[in-house]
Amino acid sequence: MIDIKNLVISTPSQEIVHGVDLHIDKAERVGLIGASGSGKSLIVQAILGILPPSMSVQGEIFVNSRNVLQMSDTERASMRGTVMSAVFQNPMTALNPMVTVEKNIELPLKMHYSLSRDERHSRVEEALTHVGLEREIMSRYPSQISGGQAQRVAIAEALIGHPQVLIADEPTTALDSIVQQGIINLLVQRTEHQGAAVLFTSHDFSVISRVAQRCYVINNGEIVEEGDLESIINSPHHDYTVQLIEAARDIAISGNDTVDSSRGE
Amino acid sequence: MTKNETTKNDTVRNGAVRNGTSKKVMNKRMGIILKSLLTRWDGLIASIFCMLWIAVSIISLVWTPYALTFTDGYNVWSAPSSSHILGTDGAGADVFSWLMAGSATELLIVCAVAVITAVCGVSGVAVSVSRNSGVRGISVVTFDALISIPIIVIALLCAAPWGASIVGVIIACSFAYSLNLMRVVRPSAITAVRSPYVTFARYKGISEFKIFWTHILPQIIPSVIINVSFASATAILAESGLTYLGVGVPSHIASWGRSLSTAANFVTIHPSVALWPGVIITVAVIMINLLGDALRESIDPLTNAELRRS
Amino acid sequence: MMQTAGVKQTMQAKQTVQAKQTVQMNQRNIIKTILSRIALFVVMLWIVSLVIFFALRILPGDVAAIIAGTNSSVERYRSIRTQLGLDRPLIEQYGSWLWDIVRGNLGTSVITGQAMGERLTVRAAVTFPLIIMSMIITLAMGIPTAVWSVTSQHAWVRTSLRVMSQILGAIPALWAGLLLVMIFGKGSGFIGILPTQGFPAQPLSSVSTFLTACASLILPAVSVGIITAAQVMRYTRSALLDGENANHIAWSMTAGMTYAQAVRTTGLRLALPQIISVAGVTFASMITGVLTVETLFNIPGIATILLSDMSERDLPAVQTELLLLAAFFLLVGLVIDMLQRLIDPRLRAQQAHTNQ
Repeated sequence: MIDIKNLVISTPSQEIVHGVDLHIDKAERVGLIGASGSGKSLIVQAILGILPPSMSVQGEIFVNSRNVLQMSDTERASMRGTVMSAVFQNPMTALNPMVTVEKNIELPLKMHYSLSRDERHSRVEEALTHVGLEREIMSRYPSQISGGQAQRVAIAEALIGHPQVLIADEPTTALDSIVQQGIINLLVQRTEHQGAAVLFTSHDFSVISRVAQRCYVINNGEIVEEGDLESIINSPHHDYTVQLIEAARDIAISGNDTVDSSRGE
Repeated sequence: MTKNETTKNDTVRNGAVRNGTSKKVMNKRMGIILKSLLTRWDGLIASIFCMLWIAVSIISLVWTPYALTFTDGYNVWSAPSSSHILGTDGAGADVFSWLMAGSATELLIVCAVAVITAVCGVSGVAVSVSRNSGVRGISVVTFDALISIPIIVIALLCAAPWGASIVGVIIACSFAYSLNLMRVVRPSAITAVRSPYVTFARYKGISEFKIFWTHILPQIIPSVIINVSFASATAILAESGLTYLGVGVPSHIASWGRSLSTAANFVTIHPSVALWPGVIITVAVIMINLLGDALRESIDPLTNAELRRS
Repeated sequence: MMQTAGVKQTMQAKQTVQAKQTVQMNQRNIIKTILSRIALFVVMLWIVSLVIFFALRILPGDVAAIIAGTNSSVERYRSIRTQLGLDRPLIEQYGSWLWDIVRGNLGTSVITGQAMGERLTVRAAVTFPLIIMSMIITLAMGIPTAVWSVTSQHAWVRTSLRVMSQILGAIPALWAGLLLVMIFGKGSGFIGILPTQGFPAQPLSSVSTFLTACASLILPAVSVGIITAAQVMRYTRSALLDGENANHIAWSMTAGMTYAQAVRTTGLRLALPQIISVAGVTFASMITGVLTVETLFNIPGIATILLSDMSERDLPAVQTELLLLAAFFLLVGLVIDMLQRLIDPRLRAQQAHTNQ
């Protein structure tokens, strides 16, 4: 459902992403692994249409057969939250600190659907239960909850509009390792439940191995390897992939365990 | 010498070992900053303007087209002509000469306010983030209270005993803008104070002054520069208002505010005389702001790539 | 997870109780903050009163001598001194001045003999509307242009707005007033429609005098307002473009907003604390501008009376006027501070943590 062809992204002074091809099928979980600065976040921003205007983009990004790069701002905005949504690395810099958790989560609903306040309220409650948080968190502010809780809130907001694809840009990098596991499991469980595809980026192979079915390895703005998770782990071709695998601490080779989402901390 | 050995020339600044922070490196850095300043369009224009300003001021100390005391009763309020470039005012004095002489006064005010604001403001910031919470508390409360005193009031207080004076203007402006600087720069200083380097240095018992000088000051310099340039620019604007109200520059000393005030009372009859002082003030303020912006971007390693590489 | 109905009910009840407790805790903290801030206001006012009182006492120029006149007898001079309380120790004078004010007695002007309270009220009734008008113009012009300068699709709009704000922020208030007079002033300007001098004596006596009063305030208010608007616009713009806020704006965009929408809603909301703080600072700095335009446009406000009292060395009057001015600005600072805490939940959260 997402088809990226020959994507080139450059700043005014240099080209950062050199001709990337990427493909995500419906309800598929795809990993994009590479070091910081390899261009992962730029690709994510390009798909969503939130690249800063100083960046120039070439190539094609098809979402449900429509080229996002040629759409107007308004058309792209109407797709965000409904067709595609995202979770980012640091939830504290993303969530709006000025409004309550409830208002944060209901934003996609307010933007795209005309629902009554009560309906929105009950959907937010539902969303919170799904991510393993207590109802009373709704009236708190982002500054009053922990990082792990905030990331769950972000996930609740991203999924409340039932998007067809959820893009998770290094969602666990800023979290403690124990909290990380819970978030990963939560993402896998909820997206499977909703039938949504996932694009998960990270620099850590052990994290990716718990999420992705298929994987792209990116190095210095180029895709150097792609394939099923198992085949990459068992027989990596590119040097860089080998390094990444060796650097990973423990890889879940036998597939993705779907554990009940543990309660939020 | 390999990278990992430290020699006696090395200093540990903010945890980073700078190999041989000798005079040579400092001079090189100054050179880079200066070069960046002059290659930027705003730095270049502002620097040229300031050079001109300084030149005109120095010249005016020894020569102006007409003496300031020159008056020509037959030639009042005349339009610009070949003998009077910008015309004459109500007393028949040459507008251009007064503006030229005024530039020296403004330059004095600008530089004095800049220096005093920088020194007092930064000291105030240092006090307000000191390790002693009593000192901190008192200083914050006092400064916030004093900020509420408008400049005009301080100028009035200075002018009342001794009459209007340039010193009064300088004191009033520096007072108000130092307090303003403290308020605006304090958040950056607080962030710097919270860094582990400062905590460790305090634990080791290093003096507050040294801690401020090495760890906190470098972090707040960009913010300080912007505020000092803003302060000196606003001083010119304040001077014109204060002089008009009678508590600024005395009537026998030339200043741009003086020229503007003289023209103000007759603006409905002879508008053109009010034009030039206003123009020169506006241009000068814009130039100082541009200079401040350009300087701030040249000094900050985050924005100046060349400085980062050195 | 299997839960019996009973366990679920208890959990829900517990959650409601916890929610209520959070709200109560937030409320208690707000009250604590308000009270401590008011206490701070009183302390600051006291410090300022000290500064005013003792600074004025350094002034040469004997009020008693001025009133008595140059040819008066020594007894008359002495009696005036006693009347003014100038022969008592300084601390006593300060104390009695403060005590009078606290009881609402603003004293009598020694020069005119008029009661200060009534004199000042008349003047304040002119200056405060002027200040408020200027403030409204400032915010109404400054904030929308800032948003516009960030979100507009056209580069020329964005650049020209920035340039204009630089220029307008560099104009002296006096010159702005003069230019406006030149353009709009009745009798001499190109579009001579607005009065440039004076103010009707009894503004509220009839509709026409009221309208004239309002019209007289327009040019002064605009002179001051445009300049401070430029300042507010620059600060607002830089707050909207602040790197810290960029991620929040991106997040709102991810939920379905365009960039312009995100800046207008999320960006402004985030910038609000800074805008309020700037509004407070510009408010205080407006006083010089207000004084200037009051003099230029001959408006009988507090500014002009302060200056004339100052030149006449009417110490008691000047003292009280300065204190009232300072109190006004400290009050504005208090309101701004409270507004900020109300609006920014992050400040409240800190309060919560320190109170635990």
